[in-house]
Amino acid sequence: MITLLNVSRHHMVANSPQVILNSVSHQFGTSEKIGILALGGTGKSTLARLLCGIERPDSGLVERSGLISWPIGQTHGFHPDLSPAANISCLAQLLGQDPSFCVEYCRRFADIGTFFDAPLRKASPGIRARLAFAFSMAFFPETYISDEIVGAGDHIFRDRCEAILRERLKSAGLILISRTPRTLELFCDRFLALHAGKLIPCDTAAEAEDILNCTAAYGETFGQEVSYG
Amino acid sequence: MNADATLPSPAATWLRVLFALMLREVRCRFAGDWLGYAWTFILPLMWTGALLWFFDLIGRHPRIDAPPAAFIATGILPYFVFRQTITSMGAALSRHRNLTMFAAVRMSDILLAAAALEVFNGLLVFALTFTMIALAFEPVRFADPAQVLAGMLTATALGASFGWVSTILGELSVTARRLIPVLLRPLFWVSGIFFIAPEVPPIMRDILWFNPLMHAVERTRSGTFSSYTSSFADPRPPFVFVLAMLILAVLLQSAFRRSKNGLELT
Repeated sequence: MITLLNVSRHHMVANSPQVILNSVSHQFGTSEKIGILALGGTGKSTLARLLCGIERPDSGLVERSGLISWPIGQTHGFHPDLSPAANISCLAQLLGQDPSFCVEYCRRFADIGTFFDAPLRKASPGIRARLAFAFSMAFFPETYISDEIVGAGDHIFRDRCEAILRERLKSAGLILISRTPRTLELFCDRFLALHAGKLIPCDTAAEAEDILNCTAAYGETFGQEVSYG
Repeated sequence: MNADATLPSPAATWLRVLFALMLREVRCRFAGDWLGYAWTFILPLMWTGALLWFFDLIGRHPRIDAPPAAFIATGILPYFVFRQTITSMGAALSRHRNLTMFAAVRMSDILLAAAALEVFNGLLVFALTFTMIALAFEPVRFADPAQVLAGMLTATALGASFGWVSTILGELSVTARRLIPVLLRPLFWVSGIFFIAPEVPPIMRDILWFNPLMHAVERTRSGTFSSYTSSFADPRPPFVFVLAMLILAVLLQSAFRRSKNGLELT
């Protein structure tokens, strides 16, 4: 479960504050499948990082309980000079998991052939994305958090990603932050729109889209003056 | 992260993260180079060899009854460990900063793991260098191994505390990142690598008293050679320096919260 208590977060852009969250209080249940619709550049990644516990809010409190994933499918944690096998082994140790299980799982799931034992710098971005998604699925959190990513690679591999994610969501929750209403509809049953630093509850993803379309979100989000007490 | 797994205690998680970061640093450092991690030990040996050659070239001999190679090693190794710790902490953060995408990993974990690794590296480098000296020249009988250990650990602590601050400053300002290595360069000449404290004029000695690294070098040398007991080595300047740096680091982390590129200063 993740609870936001009066959370505020902003970025400074050209010496003026860009609001990401403005005094937001919200609770995300452990097994809920929640989709958050947000326009590009309005703080999707920052919100995901706040929920994962990677970033701290400027004010307020983010309470997290249970096992929560990192933003799934992120390739940042890999070192280019190490092979995927070595990378996964290191990261599994870091996260307190069985390295040999994770390596074998990713070898089978990512299915990248000889690239799996060659330095990662020789792999294409597509292969890295497959690997990162496989690594995310080698873990079994209670809540997955996704910043747009629900798959990787070609359509065949994307189908495999979606299938495994659906399987996992039978027993785990998901907070999916995306700018695509259709993606949210595929995986979520509760919807929010991120607008002007607020999380607005919606009945459907289409309603969230309407809210963002109707409120000239960019202008209000980027231009808003904020003060934090 | 199995579904039926229970959460480990925060202390156990923290220790596991530190250990894993150290292992990852060992694997990543010099990855792609065929000599790999061996560079960590080769570089100080090369430094000692180069300085020995330089001493020989200018006809300089230690003012105490000590083999030149061992004299140089007792000066260059604490200095090297000090600088290497600072460099490693900055480099480790560059190498592993993306690991902060896992909530279990914080910036301070990366820095602490790098510093801890340098403690082991420093001691290994010391043992290796004196083994090479024994093989090439003659074995050195240490007068007080505990003093030697204290000197090397002091140098590492100085490097770790300063490295912590300099890494944070480097995250906050590109200018600081470029300037700090330049500002540290004079330490090579004023930290007793080439001389012992009694050799310098009293007024210079009074100024050098404020150089904490000089005390680490003097302590190492004093513990190595039975012919030299340093009255200069004083634990207070290094202790005050380390404490001041740690307080400054905490203040910087609290005041700035995150770096210009969004890294949480935790």
